[in-house]
Amino acid sequence: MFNCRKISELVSRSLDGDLSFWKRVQIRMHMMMCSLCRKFRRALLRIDGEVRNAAEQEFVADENVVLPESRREQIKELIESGQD
Amino acid sequence: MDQNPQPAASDPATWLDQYGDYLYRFALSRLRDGDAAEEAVQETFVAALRNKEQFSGKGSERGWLMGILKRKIIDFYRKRQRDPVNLDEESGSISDMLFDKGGHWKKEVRGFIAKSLDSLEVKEFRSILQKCLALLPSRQADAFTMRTMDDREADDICKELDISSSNYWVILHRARLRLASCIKQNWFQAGENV
Repeated sequence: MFNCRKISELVSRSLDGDLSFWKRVQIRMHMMMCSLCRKFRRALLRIDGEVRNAAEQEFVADENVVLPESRREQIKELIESGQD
Repeated sequence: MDQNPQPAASDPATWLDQYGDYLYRFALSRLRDGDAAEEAVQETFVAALRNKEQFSGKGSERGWLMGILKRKIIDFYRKRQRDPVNLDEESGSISDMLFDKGGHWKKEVRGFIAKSLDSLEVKEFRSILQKCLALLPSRQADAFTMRTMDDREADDICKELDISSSNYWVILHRARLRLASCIKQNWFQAGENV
């Protein structure tokens, strides 16, 4: 039987797919008995999901974030001098 | 003065106004570091200028610039993976903080681990998530970002970051453990303050 530490590793790996049938069974059996690992797994699933969603809709940073003025000037000069 | 108010198909003079903020915002979301994001955007424009003739005009100009920016971001990731400062950050194992010798959840963490996130609304979840992501060692956050935000495959990430697959699994697992415990801890403490 795997302990919670090992199960947390397997759950993490299961989020990226490749996990043997046997290991998936182990996770499921452990989840039946352990409410902490159940809650933890739910949290991991949600985190991955929310990050994916946030990336799909506009990025994490909001509209008010703009390229700082000093850098803008610097790039402008680079572009102007590079165009000749 | 230019007689023609309509810019040509790809006129570098218009790039900055049209795409500067967009590229910067994207870079910031991936690199989580203002200076690095600015650098990446600057390098993108410089590279675009140098390779202007490579723009085929088939796809969008923005898409072309984004392609260049994404390569630049990965260059930053590579640099950070090798930076010794970032290796030191991981000295305290997150697993040892959460689990006891027998591999069970430690007594002192059970309170917040048991805290369900189901009632946490998306907006609030995201703001905590962003805060916690910023606290991760950058090499963990970078690999996690590539996997989730950019939906890259594990093999692909290993190749790009030049890390072994076993190293990749460890890095990603640590990132997830840290994120989950950080978010739960924040949420748990917020609940206590009400």
